[in-house]
Amino acid sequence: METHRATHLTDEELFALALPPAGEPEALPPHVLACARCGRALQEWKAAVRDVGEEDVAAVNARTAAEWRAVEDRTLESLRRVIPRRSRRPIVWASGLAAAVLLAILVAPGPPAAKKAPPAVSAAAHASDLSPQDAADDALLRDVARLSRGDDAGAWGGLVPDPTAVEEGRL
Amino acid sequence: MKRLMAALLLALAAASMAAQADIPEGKWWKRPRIAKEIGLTDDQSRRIEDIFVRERPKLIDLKANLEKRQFELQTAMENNAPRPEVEKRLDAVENARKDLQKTRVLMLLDIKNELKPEQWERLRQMREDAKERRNARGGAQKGAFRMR
Repeated sequence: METHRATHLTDEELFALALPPAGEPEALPPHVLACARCGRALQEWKAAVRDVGEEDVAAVNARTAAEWRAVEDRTLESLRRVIPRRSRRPIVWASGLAAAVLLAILVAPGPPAAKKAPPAVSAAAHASDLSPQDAADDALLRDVARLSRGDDAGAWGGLVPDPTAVEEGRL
Repeated sequence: MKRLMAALLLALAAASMAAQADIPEGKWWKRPRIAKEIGLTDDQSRRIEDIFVRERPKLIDLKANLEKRQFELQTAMENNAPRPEVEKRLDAVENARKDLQKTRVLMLLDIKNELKPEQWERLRQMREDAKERRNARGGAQKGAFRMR
């Protein structure tokens, strides 16, 4: 059971799943499918990202610096409400997330972001390309690639402090 | 120490091989958009699926083995185990990773052999494009971090 606990997804991983790169297929890791806690957390992240993404571009463009700060604070507050049980550390990077999502809204070409399909829908559409068995295979192949490359944070992340965390004031 | 170095070098070599086979991750041959993009035929898709199905049990076992070794290493580190024990665990992790990587790369090689060179090249290009998009997104996010 200890191993299971150790494989819960981090907030960063959940956010990446909630907001996948445009046009790139994203499959859910098997752990999310099996773990009620991570599945619930992912749904919460998707809802938070969708809410943040439903901004009107014209209104965003017209904002003053003070209004930007107020919106950012409101966004962070909504993220805190959505994820009340998680650690404080994610809130630090969530400020970056809020700014990044708002930045994405600003630079998005074409019609207002609110008219576009939210990322969560996009991810669901990608997932629907595959049968359940294929989706499980897809997750296996992605895990194998990630583990083979050695960029599995679980193996080394807990062993030594991340120096960039010091630089960014996270430690 | 030599064993550790050898394991690390092998892991590096495997990573280099994998970089050569840098194609979209996951079960891309089952995704209509990618299949259409590279002109994958039904016959090719079936043969690639056969290759994957043949290797799947091995991949599952090797992945589980790597995760177990990682867990043992992490436990040893957390319990302040003596250096020789940590070294042994580290060896085990890198050997497990090498085995997994080897199996994956050989499977990719078999898959590559089912594709025309231009199809393979297009796959690699798609992977590159996806990476660039991800990097651009990561850069924007980092910039946002510094805004604070």
